[in-house]
Amino acid sequence: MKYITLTEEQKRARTKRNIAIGLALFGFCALAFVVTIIRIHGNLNATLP
Amino acid sequence: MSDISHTDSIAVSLAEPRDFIALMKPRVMSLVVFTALVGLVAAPVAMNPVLALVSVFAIALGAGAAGVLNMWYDADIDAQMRRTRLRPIPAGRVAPGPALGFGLVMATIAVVIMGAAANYLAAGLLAFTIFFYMVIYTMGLKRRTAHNIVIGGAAGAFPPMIGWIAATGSVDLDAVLLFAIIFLWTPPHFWALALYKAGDYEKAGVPMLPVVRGAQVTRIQIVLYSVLLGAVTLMPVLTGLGGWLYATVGALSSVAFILLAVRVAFSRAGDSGETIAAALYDVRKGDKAARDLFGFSILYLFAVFAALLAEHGLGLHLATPFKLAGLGS
Repeated sequence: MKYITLTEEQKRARTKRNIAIGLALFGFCALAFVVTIIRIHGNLNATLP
Repeated sequence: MSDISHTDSIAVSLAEPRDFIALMKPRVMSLVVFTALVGLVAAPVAMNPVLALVSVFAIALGAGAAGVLNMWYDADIDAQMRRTRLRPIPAGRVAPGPALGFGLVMATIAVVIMGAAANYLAAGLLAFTIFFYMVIYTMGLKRRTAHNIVIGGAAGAFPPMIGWIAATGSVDLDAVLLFAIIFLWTPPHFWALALYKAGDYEKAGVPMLPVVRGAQVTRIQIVLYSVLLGAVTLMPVLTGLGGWLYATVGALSSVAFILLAVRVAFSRAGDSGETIAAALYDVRKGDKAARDLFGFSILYLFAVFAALLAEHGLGLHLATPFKLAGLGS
């Protein structure tokens, strides 16, 4: 099997992509959490007497 | 581990996050965000501010996804036009496959977020907007008909309506008027650009109106659409959505728009052949009128929507006596 070695430039680009994907995933989870909490809070307020 | 086990013919990506951000057409996104925000703020129902922000974010994400999918499909014609040849896909910085995946994932996330933060009607319209821009406009109309931008303009006109629906959960006359303003603004805006970039469009095989029907027909159409745009821009005053500030800004900027359009009609913009090859936005002397209209059209849309934002967001709305009873929200 043949191997290729990533250049420094390719490694840097890969690291940047990995960080961006990580941040995007974290942001999406945080957003889903915040939206859920607010919606639940709103629904509770609407149903409580 | 820095080695990858594969043949050395594989292309290792050098794409950076900024290349993927460029795929999202950030400048178009900023205009979409602005108009969506205006739709949301001008709506008569107050929304939780955090959910409102998330909704605008979802619209921005959806617009970005549409931009990515458009760039994926249009990479071949982007490579032929000076204005677009440095975009990430034709420039070779991002491969088409990852771009398509990125666009589809973003579109899905945008719709899901909108559904969770606002309502399913807004989410459905956002999904339809992305579909319309990608399939109806980019794949269907853009390369086939000179009316591409007239019908395709609907995609760019939906965001304020989505913002409005996110807040209210329903489609009202005022939301339709916000849609109509951008819908009628789009043809003169893009035709002004096409008049002085006709050579580029022709080379890429995009049948823009100046390429197919000629510059004179385009100049006349620009005037007709400008008059229609001016009339529709003033309609929110009749429904009560626009107050004195909006009426003043809308009337003055509409008059200026129509005058600039008439100036284009009497100019020779788009008449002669090739554009200057040396620079991206250099235009011939005769094309100045078209370039001025193109520049002003951006300012126009910003001014009209900013007036609405100021009235409804900053409490500057002073009702005019022109409101017709029974119209509006």
